Amino acid sequence: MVVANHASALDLYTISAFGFNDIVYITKGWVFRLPFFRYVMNGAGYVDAEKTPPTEMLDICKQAVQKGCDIVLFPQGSRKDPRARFKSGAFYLAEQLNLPVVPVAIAGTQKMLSAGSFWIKPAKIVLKAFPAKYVKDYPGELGHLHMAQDVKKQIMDFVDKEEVA
Amino acid sequence: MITREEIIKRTNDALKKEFEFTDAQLTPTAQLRDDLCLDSLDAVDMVVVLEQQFGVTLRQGYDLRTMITLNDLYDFIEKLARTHNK
Repeated sequence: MVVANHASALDLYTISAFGFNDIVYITKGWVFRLPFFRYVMNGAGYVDAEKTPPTEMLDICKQAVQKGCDIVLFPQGSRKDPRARFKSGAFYLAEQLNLPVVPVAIAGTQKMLSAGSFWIKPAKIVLKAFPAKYVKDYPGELGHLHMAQDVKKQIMDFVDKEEVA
Repeated sequence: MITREEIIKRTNDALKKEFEFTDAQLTPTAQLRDDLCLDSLDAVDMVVVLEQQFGVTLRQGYDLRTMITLNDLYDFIEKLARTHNK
């Protein structure tokens, strides 16, 4: 389960740089309504987070993982606020499927192409994948929620450091 | 018995800590789903957070469909507090 911060439409392309294998994105429904993109996304088995019921989501992710896919999700759910809370859904899924979570920090894409903009400007992009960890390392009933908070801090500390430099 | 003001303060403190809300967002009429953007898993987590905050079981008698605003949540906790004090 790969989770990354989300500030730009370019983030999806930067994830490819890591060489994750056979990615299945879990994403918002509006993307599935874009011409051309929807055919590619449906063909690739991407998941509509808004239309898919939770139990079905779990089954789809389980099957994807069994086929050797990596699941990628932006826990902030939107590019509107790059500092938005990391929602715990991805971490809950990882917990249920006993998947390691790989936090990925993406710095600089917002400067290159910010949300709502059409103009790509030159900018330095820095990517970092942190060591994988498990939700079970966060004890208690809210382990997935607390891991979401911890991963957000880990990623945003890196992004803040890189974007100031 | 716990007052409504204390219920509001402790509820809001817990929500700010766990869900990164600001005071400005936590108005009594704020809708849990539409204004605070809490999804179904957030709603479940919120119940656990508040159970830990107040040391009571909220799950029994808690009907997510009736919790539209923060006021609804405060009302529910207040009613539970009154029941426990009988």
